[in-house]
Amino acid sequence: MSEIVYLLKSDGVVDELSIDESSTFKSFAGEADCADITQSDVQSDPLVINFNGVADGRGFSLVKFLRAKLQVSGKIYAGGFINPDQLSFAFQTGLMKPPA
Amino acid sequence: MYQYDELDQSIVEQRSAEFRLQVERRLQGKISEAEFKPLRLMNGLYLQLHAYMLRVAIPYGVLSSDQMTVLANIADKYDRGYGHFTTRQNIQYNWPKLVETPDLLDELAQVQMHAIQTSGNCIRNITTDPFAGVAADEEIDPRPLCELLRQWSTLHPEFAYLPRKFKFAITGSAVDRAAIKVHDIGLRVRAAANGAPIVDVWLGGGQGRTPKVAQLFKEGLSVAELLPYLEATMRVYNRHGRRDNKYKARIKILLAETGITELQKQVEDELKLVDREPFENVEAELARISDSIIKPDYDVAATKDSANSDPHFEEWKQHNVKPHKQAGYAIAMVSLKPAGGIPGDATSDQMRAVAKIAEQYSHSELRVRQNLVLPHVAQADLYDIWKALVDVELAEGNIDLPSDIIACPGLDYCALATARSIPIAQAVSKKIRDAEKKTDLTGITVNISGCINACAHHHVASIGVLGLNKGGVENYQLTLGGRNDQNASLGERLGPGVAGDDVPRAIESIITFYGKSRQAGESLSDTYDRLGKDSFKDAVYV
Repeated sequence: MSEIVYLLKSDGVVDELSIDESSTFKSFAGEADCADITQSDVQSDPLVINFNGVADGRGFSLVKFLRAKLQVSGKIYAGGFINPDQLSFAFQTGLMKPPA
Repeated sequence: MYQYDELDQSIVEQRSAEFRLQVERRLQGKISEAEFKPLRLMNGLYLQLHAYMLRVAIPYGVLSSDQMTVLANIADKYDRGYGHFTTRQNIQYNWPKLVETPDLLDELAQVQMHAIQTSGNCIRNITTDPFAGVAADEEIDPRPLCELLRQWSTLHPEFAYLPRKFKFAITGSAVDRAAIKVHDIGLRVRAAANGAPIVDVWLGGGQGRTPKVAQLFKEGLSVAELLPYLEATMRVYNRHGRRDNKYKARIKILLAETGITELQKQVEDELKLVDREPFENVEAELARISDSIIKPDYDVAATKDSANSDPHFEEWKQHNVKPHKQAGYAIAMVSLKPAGGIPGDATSDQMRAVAKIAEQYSHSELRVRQNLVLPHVAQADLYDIWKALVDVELAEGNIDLPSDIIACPGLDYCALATARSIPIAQAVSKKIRDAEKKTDLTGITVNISGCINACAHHHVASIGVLGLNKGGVENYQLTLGGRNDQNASLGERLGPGVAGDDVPRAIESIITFYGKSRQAGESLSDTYDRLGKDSFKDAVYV
């Protein structure tokens, strides 16, 4: 089982990065209840938010919560079921900042 | 009207180009229909019973003559020579071919029009009073706020995949012509004691299979606080709105299940987390928008017209001309509800004719509901306008009369419908048109929906008709006592449904009984409230 994480390269091309289950990336389900996430859950960098379907936009609000409430300043990648057509929304909400 | 800038133009052009690529991927089989569906829906493209249907936004119902002409040309080139104007201030084309929709969108983009967010689970087209900015009874012009919300909600990255569609309506008058209490969020803009605009937020209204009248959720927000508050509200809805059952996914259900006090608390808690930086200059932006709305150069010396001896003109003027805030001017409504016609439909020739009339007499501006509005006409021009409308068969003088029927497309077009609504509306308007010419029958609204989704808003009509399918036979339930104004209320089911061909008789019976029973100043719903269901039942079920 592996997760798909989208990465935006500096030339603007979107690549998919497969992460196997041994990955140490900390991930959250897009539908996770914000009340259950604490500061200790967000110490690693990067973090991943897994979307459970292309029609489910809860992950876009979750990243706002992680940034605003828990002050996450590192990378947060979008994973799971996310469509390339949704990437502009992902970038704007603070997901998947392009590598510097 | 508001003048779009280069950024707006760029957005619609980019969106059109993006959709072209999405259509190409679909036609090449690179994405499935399931993957394509949310993409096309975000661009207003439905798959209906017989063909694709494209819904084009007319933001807060304001349209220029040039835009109307383009809509007419599109109707000829990509459709079958007509378009359908809707209550939520859109136009729908019923026969576009998928392969041609990118070209259609390119032509729309040339006049800053688009189909962005006219469908899908996102914030839909912002709607308002079709008389916004010109109504004699208006307190605050809502159009700048409409534009502010349009900019905020267009391609909002966080709210493009909500639990369900989300509809805003705004009014700046105490008399609500925008039906704000049956929207997910309705905004009432009013003047504070110091004259500054403030906003009341009504939340949780809606129709469909679980109709609700909105509750007053937040009172007296300043303009500066409005967008952060809405951002917080939408975020709470995005996180907590139900996604397990599409029929329970609207915010009205979240409100009912959470309770207003708890939901208000959640929004207030979320508000503390909202990044205020994007909203720092909102008051200045609102002022810029206000300045960008070109005010017509009214002729302050305009004189009131004299009465004309033509009784047909006088009848039209009595019903279709509404008070304007500028002395010597009027709001002239163009009925798209001829007796026996399809409510809301206009041919391309009619669209072009109205565009020319607007150019000549209404400062090149139109408004849209399921009828058309000429918002800035000199009273002295009314007779000439009427004659021009007669030439294109658009001079029906029946605004706010029972034959001004709101009907959804129903089973003639809609994949969700369970019964026909257009033929019923046609039969009803034919049946009652003569009677309403002889008697004062204002105070009656007739809305006909072809399924429980209630796109024709039958719950809030004084006479609502809901078409269902019972054992393969169309059956029409009647509801009475609804209102869609500032006193919004839901109609009550009168009794057993009736057959389709019996609907005109049933409605005529209701109207006749109301005509005999009403007291001075009573609407049909007022009379219904006073007399109760049984009196009206006796009139219908003989």
